[in-house]
Amino acid sequence: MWAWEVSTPIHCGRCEAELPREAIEARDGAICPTCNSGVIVRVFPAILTKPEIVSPAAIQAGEGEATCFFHPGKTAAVACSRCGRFLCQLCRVEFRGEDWCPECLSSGIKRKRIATLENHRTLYDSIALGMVLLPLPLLWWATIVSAPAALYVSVRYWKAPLSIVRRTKIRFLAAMLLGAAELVAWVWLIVYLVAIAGARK
Amino acid sequence: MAAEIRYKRLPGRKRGIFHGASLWLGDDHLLAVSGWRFTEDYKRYYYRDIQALVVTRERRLVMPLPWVVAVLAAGVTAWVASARSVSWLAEGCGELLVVLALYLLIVSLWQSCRCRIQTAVSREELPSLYRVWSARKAVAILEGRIGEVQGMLVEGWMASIPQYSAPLSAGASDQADPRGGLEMPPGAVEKPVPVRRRTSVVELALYASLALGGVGLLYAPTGALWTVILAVQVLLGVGVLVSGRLHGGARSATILAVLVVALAGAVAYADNFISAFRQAQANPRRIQFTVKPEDLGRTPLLNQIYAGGCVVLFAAGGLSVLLRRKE
Repeated sequence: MWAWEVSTPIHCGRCEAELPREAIEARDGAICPTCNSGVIVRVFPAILTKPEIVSPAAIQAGEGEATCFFHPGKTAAVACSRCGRFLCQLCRVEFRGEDWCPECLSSGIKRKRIATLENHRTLYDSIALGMVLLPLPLLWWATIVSAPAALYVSVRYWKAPLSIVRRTKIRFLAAMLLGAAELVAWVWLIVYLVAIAGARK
Repeated sequence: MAAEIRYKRLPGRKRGIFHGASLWLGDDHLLAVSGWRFTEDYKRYYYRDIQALVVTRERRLVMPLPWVVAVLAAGVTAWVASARSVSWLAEGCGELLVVLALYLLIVSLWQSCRCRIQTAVSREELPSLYRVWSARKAVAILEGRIGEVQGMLVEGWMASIPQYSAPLSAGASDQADPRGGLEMPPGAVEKPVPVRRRTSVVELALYASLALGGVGLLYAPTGALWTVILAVQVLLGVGVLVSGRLHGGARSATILAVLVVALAGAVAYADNFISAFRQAQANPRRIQFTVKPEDLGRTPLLNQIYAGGCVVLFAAGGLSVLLRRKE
């Protein structure tokens, strides 16, 4: 009889000891028997799925068989959905319901064409806003440099992708308004000081 | 550029002075966002791959940015107020600092946790879930979403797993065969795993002290009134926190208590404004807005409202604890 199997045991987040059955089953939480910490565990059916392991020996190409573009010694299993190259089981990457080769995948990530694989973004809107706000409490005089810099960043990166999770340009707008206000204040101050100096002469 | 995905934020957010983290629900994946002020890093956990979520209670000292800002604001205000000899404001800010310190101490010791997500190939911590209440909410939402994709395990599913059909003992994990270790390693002692019970006694004690504080407020001597009011405020705060966070069933009691405190505040201010208005009528050159112990002592209605709030919270909280114990 075939029995279910847990592919990865569940460990306590504090002491790393494997949690016993009672702790996993208790919906209201249990206590780890090793470190006495309270634990709440939620387990999902994926824990019963065994990872598919492809043994290289099983996919060796025979005489006259189509072979993988990247591994000439291995049998081709599918063609890449993007470039059409033949791929073996080792090179095949299932992505968005299609089969992709590693090269198409890596070029898609590099060119930022695959949003779901993007793992880093620089937040130019936050940089621009930081430039106008951060110097104010202690280094207000630095705004003479940071305000125009913030305006430059706002204009230069206006079309740059924002954060994946929040996508309004309100920070850019705030940075531009505040930067412009700071610049106007500086111009006014300089004109005022020059006028005072002129009046003294 | 590929079409962008709409995300919905999950409860729990780590907002440090420089570093931050949050969790977002996508259509088919959970997005963990972590980053410094001006950059963000993303990690995706597809619902179909998530095997388990483990929340472990742990003492953690995490100072969120709003707390730091509140402490700085209260500290600076207290400093300025004491320099300008505005004693009541300085005292108030000092008390606020004490309450903030107590809050951080309580949540760090008893309401902090570490949440971990497990897939077939990884076990990673979710830094945004570091308080128990937000972890509970986030796990509940995630459970539903993952359940929609994977389905749910039937009750008692572990009985069909040879690996778990006999309870493992503590510390046996390192030596046990993870793929079916039915035999106990030599020297391992099997001990029953206690199912966690919430600390009903502590909660009951809290509600009882609330009731005592409320009654004490009515009979407190004028000299000690300020101390009693402060103690009752702290107790009310803790009571509201416990009721709201630990058991949602007492939510109505929490709302009631908050309303009572808000009402008490409104009465205090109204009383103060009325007296200031009368002063202004009598002597237009001398208008004084102050909150002093003796003023509060002259407002028995305020004390009664506070005391009433304590008693209501005591009754509702105690009742909910007792009912839960019966269940």
